[in-house]
This record gives sequence, structure tokens and C-alpha cells, in this order.
Amino acid sequence: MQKGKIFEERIFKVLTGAACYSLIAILGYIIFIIFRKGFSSLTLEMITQLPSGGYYYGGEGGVLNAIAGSLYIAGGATLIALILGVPAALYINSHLIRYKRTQNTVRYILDSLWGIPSIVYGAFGFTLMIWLGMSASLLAGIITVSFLITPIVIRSFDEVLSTIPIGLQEAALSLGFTRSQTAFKILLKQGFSGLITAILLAFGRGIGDAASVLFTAGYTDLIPANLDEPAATLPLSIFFQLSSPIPEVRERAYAAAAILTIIVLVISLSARYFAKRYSKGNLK
Amino acid sequence: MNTLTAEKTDTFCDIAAQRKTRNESAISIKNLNVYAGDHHILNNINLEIPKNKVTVLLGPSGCGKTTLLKSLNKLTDLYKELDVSGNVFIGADDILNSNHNIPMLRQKMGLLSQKPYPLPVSIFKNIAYGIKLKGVRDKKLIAFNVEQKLKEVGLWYEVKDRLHSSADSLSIGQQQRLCLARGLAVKPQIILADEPTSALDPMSSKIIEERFRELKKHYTIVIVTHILRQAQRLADNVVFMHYGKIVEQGDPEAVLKNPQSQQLKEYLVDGF
Repeated sequence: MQKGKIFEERIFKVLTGAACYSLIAILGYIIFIIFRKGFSSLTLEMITQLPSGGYYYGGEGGVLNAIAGSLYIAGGATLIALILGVPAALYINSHLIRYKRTQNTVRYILDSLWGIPSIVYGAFGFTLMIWLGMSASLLAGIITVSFLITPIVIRSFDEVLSTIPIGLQEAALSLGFTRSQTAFKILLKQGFSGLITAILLAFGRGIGDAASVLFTAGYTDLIPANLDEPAATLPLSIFFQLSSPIPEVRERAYAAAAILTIIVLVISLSARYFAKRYSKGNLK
Repeated sequence: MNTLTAEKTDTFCDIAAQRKTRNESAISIKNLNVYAGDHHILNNINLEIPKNKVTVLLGPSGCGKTTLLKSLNKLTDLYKELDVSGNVFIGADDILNSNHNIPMLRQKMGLLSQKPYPLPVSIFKNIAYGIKLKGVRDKKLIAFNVEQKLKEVGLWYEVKDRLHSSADSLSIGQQQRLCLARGLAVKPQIILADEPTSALDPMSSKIIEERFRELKKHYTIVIVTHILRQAQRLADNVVFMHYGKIVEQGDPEAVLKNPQSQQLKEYLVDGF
């Protein structure tokens, strides 16, 4: 009996461990392939220069247009998502706390929005763009991507806020805080590291998404100087280069993918650092 | 005009007597009913909480003590399932039915919960926030108040060198005293305490109890406890609840030494 249990425990340990480590191995393999294939093209020129006329046929230049465009779009969209998402998540966890059914409905709707494929947002953004009489531009891209990532900001921040014990709200209210003061002074502070994670997730999704910017942001070899100019993005840049018959250009696609990965990694690490720094006073 | 009959005189005397008790009571609870769905948590509670005395709420788990305590400062607002009716008078204001300035009414009552919940800021700010909410802007005055309140709960010498570190770095017992200091800083008239020592070590419990004995000179204290000895040590007034009803109340000597109801007799036997 006892032996059977020990054996069973071992099997489960091996299986669960295998599931966990195989995922890490897959991630490692993906990064390895991108860097191996793109390494020779990963030059300073790639990240500091705009594509020259013959770039897509193997000519001189880099993908600075796409790097800048992607950062602009993801940054702008994350900003909009924050402005809308933070108050919304705080509202769900303060004023709506008494109304569990509404709370659950709102969460369900947001989860559904999270699950909608980004091409649908792309199509929606495109329709909206036409309706507003805009052309494919940085602004249209930012708006479309913000639709895509606002639910992510709200729900992932909300998940953290919902774990804050109600006793903390009771404490603040009984000190004479209003509901809104409790939300903005206490919940926001206590859930700050969750907010950083939310921003990170949203930015990562925003910068990596191709479908939502396909119709809305357009593509250009220049860095957009205005909101109404089209903007290139890294995912589309990767797509165009990868579909080239020229091996050299395909190699550059991998280098661009590596750049995208590095951007996401850098943002992720710095976000974690800041989250740690600013949640020092928080209750564990 | 009718002449004053003997009966009427009696009525007048009654009213006078009632007025007198009302003058002496800090909280006056009238026909308080709380439902959670079909469950009747508090069943027509009528209770006067005497001023500057310690009122201890006793009773088995789930009898509605904590709900009663939370109704007093309208924290029941946070719980959807609770349907509250009746009146809770804090002085002249009915907190349950007044729409004006609930935060201000809540400031008349400090809350000490079972588990301490310091705000996610520094030790200093934990106390300073409440003072600022009262409209105090003078930094020196705030610092003075913080020091005074920390001394009042016997925490000053333990934390004076790390006032600006996180309140989370304190032990549970220290956190509970910080929460008490924080509550006192908004100058309440009443302290509501929900099993304030149940999560604490014996030493911290002792300190909190000692503080309560000191504080009752200036504050009205309502405390929920499971510890009968603590009730005996602290209470000026005992309220025994059972299934949402007040079964017995009065002087601790009388209530605890000479219980009238079967429920309290059983509770006391199990408790000691």
C-alpha cells in the first residue's frame, strides 16, 4: 500500500515536472532558432537605419521604421488602455463590490473581449476608421490596438485587486475614506505590482500583434512624424521580409523577430524591477 | 387640555427615564434586522450601548455578533448579500438611514478587526492619513499627533527609529496596536473591536487589553470576543446573543455569574 503511494507520487512528480520543463524548453528553442537564424543580420545597422529603396531585395538599411512604429503604437495604445482600464478595474473592485452579479457579468464580458481574435479588432478598427473618414495611420493603429488591450489591462489588474482582503477596505472606510479615496489611495497602492504586470501583458500583446494593425496602421519606410501618418510595425515587417524569396531578406526577418523579442524582454524585466520597488510598502 | 392623571405622570417619568438612558448611551440601536437572503442574521435588535463603558458582545460563532458590529458603522455596505433595516443612532444621526456624509459618521468610530490590516504605506502614514482626512494640514501637528497616538498604544519606543518603513515589517501584535493608534488618531468617540486579540500572542493581547481599560475613560468601546475571561476582565456591560437575538444583557457580574437562559448556561459551561 505504502509502496504504491510512493510510486504514484513519483510518477506524478515526473509527469507534472515534464509538463512544466517541456514548456520552458519550447520557449528556449523558439528563442534559440530566432537568434541563430537572425544572428548574422542582427547588426547595429538593423536597429539604427531606415530601409533603403532596395532593402526588401537585399539592399542597405534597417528596420528602425518598424521599431519606432511598433513602440509608438504599443506605447500609445497602452496609455489609452491605462487611462480607461485603471479606473474601470478600481470601479469593479470598490463600487461594484456589493453587486456580485453585475461584477461577474462585467468580468465575463471583459473575458470575452480578451478572447476575440485580433483580426476581428482589426476589421472593426478598419470600419471605424472609414466611418470617421481617416486613412491608415498611427492614430488608427493606436486606437485599434487599444481596443485589443484595454480588456487585458482591466482584467489582469482586476485579478490582483480582487485578491485584496476586504478587511483592508473596511479599515480604510472606517478611517473616514470615501469609496473613491479607498480605491485610488489604498487599492491602487496595494495592487500596484498587479498593475505593472497588466501593463506589461498589454504592451507585449500590443507590440506583437500583426492582425489589428494590418488594415489600420498601414506601412511605411519612414518614421511617422504625425498621428495621421501611416506607421510600420515589427510584426508586419517580419511578415514582409519572411515572405521574400531572397534568403538574405528572410534572415533579416529573424533578426527583426529577435529585436521584437528583446524589446518585450527588456520591458518585462524593467517592469518587474519597478513593480518591486514601488510595492515595498505593500502588505504581503 | 386634560389634567395630569397618575397614568400620564408615569408616562412622563418613563420618557424622562428613557431620555436619561439615551443621554448616557453612545449608540442606540432600534429594530435592527439584517437578512442574508432567507437567513435572518439579526432579528429585531434593540440595544443601548452605554457611553464610556466597555460593552462586550458574547455568543457562539455565527450568532451575528460581527454583523451587529459592522452594522454600527455601516460596513454592511460592502456585502451584497446583507439586507439591513432599522436604525442605528450615533448621537442624533441615524447612520443606516442618513445619506449625508457617511465617512464623517464612520470617523466617530474606530474599527479594530480580528486581523490587523495596516494600510499599504509606512508606519507614519498609516496614522497620518486619518489625521489628514480630518482636514489637518500642519505637518508639525500631524507629526506630534502621530507620536502621541503611538505612545498611547505603547508602540512609540518600538518604532520611533523606523517610522518610514513599511507597516508590514511589524509583528502582528505591533500591527494591531498600530491599527488601534490609527483609529484613535481620527478622534473617534467609539471603538469597535471584533475579536481584537484572537490573532495575537499572549503578550500583545495583554497590552491591547490594558489599553482598552485605559481607553474606556474617554471612549465607548464595543468589543466582540470569544474569550470569556477577557469578557469578565473588561466588560461593564455584557450582551449575550444567540441566533441573531439578544438573549441576555446587563452587568457582567449578574449575567455571567447568574445566567437566566438555557443558551447562556450552556455557553458558559462550554466556554470555561
